[in-house]
Amino acid sequence: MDVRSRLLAGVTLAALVLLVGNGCSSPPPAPPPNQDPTDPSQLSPPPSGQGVQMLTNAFAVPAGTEIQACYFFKVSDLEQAAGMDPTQPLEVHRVQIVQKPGSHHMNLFRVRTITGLDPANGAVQVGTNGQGACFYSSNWADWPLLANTQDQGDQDWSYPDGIANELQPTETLMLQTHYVNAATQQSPDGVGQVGINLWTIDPSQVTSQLGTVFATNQNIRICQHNPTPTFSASCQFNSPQPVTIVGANGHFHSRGKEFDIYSWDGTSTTTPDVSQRFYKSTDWADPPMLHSPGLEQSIVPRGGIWYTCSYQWVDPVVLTNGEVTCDTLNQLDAAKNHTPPSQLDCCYTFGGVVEENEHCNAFVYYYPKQDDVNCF
Amino acid sequence: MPIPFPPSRLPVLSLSLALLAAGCSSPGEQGDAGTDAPSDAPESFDAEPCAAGYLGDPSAPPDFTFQIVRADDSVAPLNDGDTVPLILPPQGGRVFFVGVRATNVDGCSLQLTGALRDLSTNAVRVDSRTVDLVATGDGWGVSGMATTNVTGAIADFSNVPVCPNEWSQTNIYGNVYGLEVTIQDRRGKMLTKKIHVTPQCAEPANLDECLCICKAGYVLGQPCGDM
Repeated sequence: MDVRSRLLAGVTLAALVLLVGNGCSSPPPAPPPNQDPTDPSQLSPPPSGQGVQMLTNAFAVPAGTEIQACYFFKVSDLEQAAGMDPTQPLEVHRVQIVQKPGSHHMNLFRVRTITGLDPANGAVQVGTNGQGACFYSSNWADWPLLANTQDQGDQDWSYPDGIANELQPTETLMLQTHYVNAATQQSPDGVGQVGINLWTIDPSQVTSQLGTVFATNQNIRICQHNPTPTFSASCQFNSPQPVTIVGANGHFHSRGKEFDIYSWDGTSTTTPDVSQRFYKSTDWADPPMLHSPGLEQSIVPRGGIWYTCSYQWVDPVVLTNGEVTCDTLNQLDAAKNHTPPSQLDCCYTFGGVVEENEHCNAFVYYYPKQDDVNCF
Repeated sequence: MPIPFPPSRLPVLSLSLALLAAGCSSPGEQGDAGTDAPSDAPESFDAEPCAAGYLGDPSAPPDFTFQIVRADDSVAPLNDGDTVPLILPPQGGRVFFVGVRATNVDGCSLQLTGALRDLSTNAVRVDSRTVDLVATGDGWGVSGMATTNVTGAIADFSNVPVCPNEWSQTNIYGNVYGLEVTIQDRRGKMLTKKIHVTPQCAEPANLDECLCICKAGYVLGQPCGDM
């Protein structure tokens, strides 16, 4: 099945799983003051003129499935819906995210080159169990990160004073939400939903722009006979002046044992000293999201980050109560990576399906912005 | 949800990292061999489930030659002054895949580090990973597999990510860069070698994209012709 066919299948499935709502960008009426931090529908939008809201519809996450849905929003449409001038940039200073329980991740990207995931194919494009354009990361290879969370409930982060991430009205945003209702992770309500508020400040208050880093180490293998691999990679800010990291989190799946992010000088080829480590996660299912004011990590000019993912191979039968076996993983490895039979070793390889694949992704937010950076 | 992990091997990893942090045979000069392996290596090393086992002579200094994956998935020796092919990996961007043919090291859980250095600014891009070498029966072991085609085994090579070029002041392609490879085995034996290479966009089918995202001054998301 080619990408377009998968996409059509995904859109068809989307029509089946969408439960409520006939639009994604219109903010709801003002909610009551007492908000449930796990109910996106109760997230109050910013008051008129102070920001925009993105709210997905509620969608079913049936037992035994993983749903990854991509929602597209044009910035000018969001501005118009929020009573703002749709011709002016948004100076985003505060990000508020509320998710229903069970979210595996939520990433918000700025759409750039269109390859296999085209907003023209629908404002909502849903993938299931690894199938569909919303699951193929090469489709957003040059899309800068805007925001992300892996937290349960709500995340509310105001950037340091004067710091903003400017969005142009002509831009399109892609909100990607991933819910898992399987063995390694569950969605207790069987329903997923995300609400995001992007609060703005007046342009006259902006002193520096926020930049982002999305670093993903995708060529990874965690195999039965190489059961404790460690993968490290680097990523520069390419800034001639020092920058300050004000947000960071790491993402891997259940074979992940430790995720570390270090400040890095941009020239060394060995793991930085532990004193340079500013992020550590040993809980794959609930990784810490560090941000200012608690996190303010200085990086030297032309420096960057060094990130390391360490894994422990686990028998998939034990991990998934028999839903996934070594045969399953070997078949996937052969089909996806063209791995010959002699090299099949019950390996977890890169991919978005939590039960069967692994990730090693670092999300970093910094200022002053030199550029948004993606490292593979 | 708690995961029933098998017995951890983190102490072994910690030992390796501790040796690295302690500066045992720190990488630096070309052909800088570290031979100070602990003579009383823990017995647990021998219990690891890896077919390669020990390669060569445990009492001899480690050695390796460079291996590179070409655009047709074949593997070739890489020497000082050679070109290295920039290849579109599954995730996008451009990388090159560098491996080793090594001896006198533990072939199981070998830490393989590859780096490309901009010789004018000293900036570097790095990838480091734990791999098992494949024994070739002559005291040596190789990245990937013993056959000539490495399709499906690129994860056993260092995937050095060089494009999009948001780090080097010159075009990645057509210019001379420094290539640095370090191997370190579980017993702490380590060797770094450095050569000069010239990256080259190697896949005609997506040449325009490669030339665009690997050029100096590329900005993430800018239009790139045939992308």
